[in-house]
Amino acid sequence: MGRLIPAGLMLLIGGSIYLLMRSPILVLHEWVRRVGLGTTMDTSRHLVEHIHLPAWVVYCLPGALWAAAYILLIDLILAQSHAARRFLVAAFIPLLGISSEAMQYAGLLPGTFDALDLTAYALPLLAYALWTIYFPIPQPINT
Amino acid sequence: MQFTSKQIVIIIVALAFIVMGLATIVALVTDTSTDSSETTEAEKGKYADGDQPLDYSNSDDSVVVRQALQGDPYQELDELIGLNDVKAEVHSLSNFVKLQQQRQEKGLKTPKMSYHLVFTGSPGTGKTTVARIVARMYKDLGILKSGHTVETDRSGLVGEYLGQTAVKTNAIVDSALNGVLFIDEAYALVPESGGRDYGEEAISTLLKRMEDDRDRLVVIIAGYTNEMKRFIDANPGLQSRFNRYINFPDYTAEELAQIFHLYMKKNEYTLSPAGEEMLNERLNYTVDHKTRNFGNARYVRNVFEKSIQNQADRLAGQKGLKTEQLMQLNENDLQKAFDETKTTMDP
Repeated sequence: MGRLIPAGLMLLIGGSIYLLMRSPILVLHEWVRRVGLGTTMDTSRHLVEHIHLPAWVVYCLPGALWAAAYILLIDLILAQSHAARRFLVAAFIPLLGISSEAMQYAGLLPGTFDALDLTAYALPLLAYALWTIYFPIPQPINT
Repeated sequence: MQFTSKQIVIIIVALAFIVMGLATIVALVTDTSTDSSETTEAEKGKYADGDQPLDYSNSDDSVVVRQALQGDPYQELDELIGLNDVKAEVHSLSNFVKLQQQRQEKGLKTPKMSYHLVFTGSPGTGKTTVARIVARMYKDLGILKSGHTVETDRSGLVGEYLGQTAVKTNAIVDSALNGVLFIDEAYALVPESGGRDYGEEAISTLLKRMEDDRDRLVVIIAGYTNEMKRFIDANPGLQSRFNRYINFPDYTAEELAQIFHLYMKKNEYTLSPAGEEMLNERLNYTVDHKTRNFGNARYVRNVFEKSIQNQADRLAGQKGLKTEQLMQLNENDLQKAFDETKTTMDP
């Protein structure tokens, strides 16, 4: 539970920023409408219309939160596994994000490269790496 | 190959995050407000850090915010002097949008269309006026919520040092959300001389915001025809977003005379018969000898303003003037005004 609740909160906060602050033309918005929450979403968007958050909060923070949530969940699922294996699996999604930014920079993927987005994916991974090094979980006897 | 339950859970979690991530970068494919390309382009438009939308209600020279037109925009369009081709184009655009909306209601496929426009033509040919009308028309069609216009040019978008341009451009775009951003002489963002310039930063910031706020921002760029074509052709991002051009031809001498009469009517002035002859003669001469930077309606407005000033000078010191005298401009007022007014607008 120690990691589940923070992971859930990060997903919720990141998702809320996407749904309430970003343009309502994403597939995510359409999913919300399809499950019958369109009116709730539109009303909530209207309520927060006057709130102006910094750009990095709207466009970069959700990615960072979701990457961190994924890391926490994997850490929870593989708590009994070897640290290296746990780290590799936990790094999958953040590395995917970092690679997509790199490919955008190289023009191999449509989109606009953003250094802040790259940082948003890299920071949770870096934090997890440091956490793994300085606060290692005792290795299981049978791996 | 067999997976343990843990592995299956990890795969499901990873897939869920990948799908969620994709859902936040993929725009709706069937959204009719998307432009004609890049429907799966990732959203990357950014605001400046901590930036609040600036208040442009006290407009300076580089930015003017105008509230949405009141009244019927189609009527206002039809009442403009001249511009018959422009009126036809704007009506055609409106007809197309209305029909696509009807098709969408019936569940038929609708082509992706861009609402951004390019207005080409010399100064003073009504581009800004029509932009305001188009903004209100888009509001009536449900494309824009507010229908106001924010008018600017290069000076309103480009900063003087690194990092300032994105802030300025984002602030102007913020003020134009749910309305129309009208950029005059947009090609000035890329000066021909090259060198150190932050115009490219303004363009890339603008393009990002046009992608990110595609459902609540319409951009109209305006300027001379050849310069606008070169400007757009030089940037693939602009090419894909701006594919509807409306040309504003120069006014004829007759149309300019009508405009002059309109100014007189609005300000309760009349013209002597000799003044009428002078007006037609001088306008014909000016149009026949006009240059590329001819000011068109703006030139006529300047002539009118100088004429009423000349009338004031002519009548200065006289007491007990009758209403007809206070209202009437004569040929001398006009001649002096024509002599003193430049025909060209500085680029």
